[in-house]
Amino acid sequence: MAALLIELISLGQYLYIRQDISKDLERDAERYLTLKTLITRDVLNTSEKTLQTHMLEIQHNLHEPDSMFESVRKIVHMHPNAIGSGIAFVPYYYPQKGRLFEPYARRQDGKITVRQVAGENHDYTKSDFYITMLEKKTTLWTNPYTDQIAGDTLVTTLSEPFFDGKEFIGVLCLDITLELLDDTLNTRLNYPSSYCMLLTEDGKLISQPSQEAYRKHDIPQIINLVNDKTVERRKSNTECEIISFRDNQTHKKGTIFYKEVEGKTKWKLVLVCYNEEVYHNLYVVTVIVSCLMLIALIILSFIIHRFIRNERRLNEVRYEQERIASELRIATSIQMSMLPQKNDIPEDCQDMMVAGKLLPAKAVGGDLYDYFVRDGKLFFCIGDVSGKGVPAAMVMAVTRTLFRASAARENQPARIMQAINDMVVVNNERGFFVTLFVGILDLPTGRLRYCNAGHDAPILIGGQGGQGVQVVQDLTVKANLPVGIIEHYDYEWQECTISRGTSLFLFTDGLTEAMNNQHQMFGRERVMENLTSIIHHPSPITLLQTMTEKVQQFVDGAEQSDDLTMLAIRYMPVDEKYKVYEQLTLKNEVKEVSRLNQFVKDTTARIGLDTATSYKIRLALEEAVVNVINYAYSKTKQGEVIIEMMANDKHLRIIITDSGMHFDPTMAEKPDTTLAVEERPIGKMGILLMRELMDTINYERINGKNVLRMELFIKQPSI
Amino acid sequence: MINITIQELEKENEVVLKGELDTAAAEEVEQKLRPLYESNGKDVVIDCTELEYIASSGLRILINILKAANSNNCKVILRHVNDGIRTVLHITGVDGLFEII
Repeated sequence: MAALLIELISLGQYLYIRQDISKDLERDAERYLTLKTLITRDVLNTSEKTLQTHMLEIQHNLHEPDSMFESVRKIVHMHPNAIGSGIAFVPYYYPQKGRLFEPYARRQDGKITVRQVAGENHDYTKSDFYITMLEKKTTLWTNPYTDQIAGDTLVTTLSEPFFDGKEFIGVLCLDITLELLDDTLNTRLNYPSSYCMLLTEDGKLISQPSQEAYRKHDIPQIINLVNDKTVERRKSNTECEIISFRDNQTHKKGTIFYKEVEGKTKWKLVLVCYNEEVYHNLYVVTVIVSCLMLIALIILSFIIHRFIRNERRLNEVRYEQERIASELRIATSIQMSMLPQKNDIPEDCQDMMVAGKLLPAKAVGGDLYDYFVRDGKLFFCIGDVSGKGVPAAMVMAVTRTLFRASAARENQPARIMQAINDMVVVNNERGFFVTLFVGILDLPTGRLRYCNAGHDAPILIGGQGGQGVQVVQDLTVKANLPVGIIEHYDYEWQECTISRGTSLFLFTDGLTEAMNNQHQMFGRERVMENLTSIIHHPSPITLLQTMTEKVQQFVDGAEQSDDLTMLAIRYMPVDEKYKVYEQLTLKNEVKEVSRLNQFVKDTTARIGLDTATSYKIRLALEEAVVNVINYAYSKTKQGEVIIEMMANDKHLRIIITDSGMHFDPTMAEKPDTTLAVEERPIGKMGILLMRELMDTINYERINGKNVLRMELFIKQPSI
Repeated sequence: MINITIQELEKENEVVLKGELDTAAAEEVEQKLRPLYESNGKDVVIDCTELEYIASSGLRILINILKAANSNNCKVILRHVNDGIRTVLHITGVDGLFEII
């Protein structure tokens, strides 16, 4: 489409310029012809005047025949174009000069020689001009002819009759060159094939174009066209006639310009041009321009095509980036939502405070931490997935989910670790691994069970050191393989008991390996130093804030390549003073439940609890004790169940201790209450009731004894 | 202490439970209600107006009666259940199994 438009523009341009050129040509041709005719006319006029001027002198000197020589010499001398001048007298005008007398002056090589030229060899009375003159006795111009003596120049002769009184006595002649005509013929216009011709009044060719023109073109056709009055022609303002024609020989189009030389001669000066040549340059230029434009167009369209394609690609890339960015934002928010939430820790938990912080280096990180409280135990973990970006983040998400799932039904850290490991190993084609620390802090006792899979050892802050001073020290960890490497790897777990007031600080290597612009690492020593400096203000949130500030000061704006994750847990000192403390020892017999009921009634009355609360406590305690009797002890073996019940204004705590077999009611799965009655297991309802009726149940096996703690927060403390 | 009355009426078997059905009492209650473990084709109405307490062992007996009744396309209706017991039924998820009026 665009190509067509461009070619049309070219065509328009071509036609416009062509018209312009054609006008130019016309103007040039007219000018040329006008000039030429004027010059010719001028030469002819001058000649006529010269003869008329000298006519008087000659007539005056007729009595002296020899003075005629001087007269013709003068004429030649006077007229710049004259090459000769003579006077042909009628026979025997001067009897002393014989029959013929013609004094003649001739200019040759710039010199003028004068002599009598008539003789028997040169009998002018037989010449055309003389005979014509005898008839017409008026001014006559011969048709131009080529004079050998004068070279190949075109020569014309002006003849003027002269009289003695009324008697015709001779002819005065002047030969003049039409050199001027010759000189510029064929050279006026810059078209080699154009040529000029001079035609007589009756249309005879007198000045021939070059031989080459003769060969190439049909000259007679031109002459015919000019002479044939029926041929269509137009006249310009300057009396120049113009004929368009097609050459018979070459079939080329051409234009004939011709103009009459006014005055007595009526010669016609003809100029012929051929269109092909006139418009040749234009044609060539147009073709070249068209081609160039076409090429330019092709290049342009190629460039535009490329540009559009690139733009489209760029847009696609931009869109893709935008999409990825938006997905990354979603991933970030998903990842952040996988961090522990407020409700992962019971609101009224007095035993510990915990705070975590994850600063991803990129939109999504491969670090993780998690914590939640179940059955009076804080389950927590911190980990670092090898690699970065989205793949690491996905492994992180999987690991965190696995931690949640397995820690929901396991109280033993190595088993949690194994469960995570076995799942991560499967389909781990990309060879990811996770350094992971899993810990379980039993809140009533401070017993810390943990399993470390290749992670940085956590740091213990405060608590009592060997010499009773507060210290900052590493938690001793065994070297287990990171998660995700070997299936069924046998993880070793450890345990220790931490005293109230102790904090535990966990972190990923993003902290120790935080790098400043001098390529120095923050390092574990600095971590320890900073922890030492804040040993007396160890609230987990302050601790993390301080550590974050310190590490940011250290790196001083240097871009971090690794995620930075920290987790701080403080095992709170609790003031445990109870207003009421009661104890009851039962035998492992069901009928003892009656005693238990009485005990609960009495104690709750002492504490000042309402009937509904008392009812809940009685039921939960009965279920707990019946479970111990039924499951911890075999029927035949005698044993004891010790029940302690204590309360202050805020909460009530029940501790049930027995020496039976290991029996952890918190590990029992919840019955599926959606099943039909026939499919429903009869057991487990008791444990469900315990869980639902009390705020916390917590189990620990301590010194070969089952210790079950149940807690109820008293919402409306009695007065 | 628990007091149990069983009465075979024209259209239904009526059980009246009075007192506290705890684990200690469960054995005795089970003994007394055992006839109901064999369905006679009548619905069972258990009046709980004066039932003050029930533990999971008591629920177990009620569920056993229900199983027997259901196998004969009969219903077990708990009548006049107090809030405390209603809560227990709800927590254990057995409230949906009985018709409670």
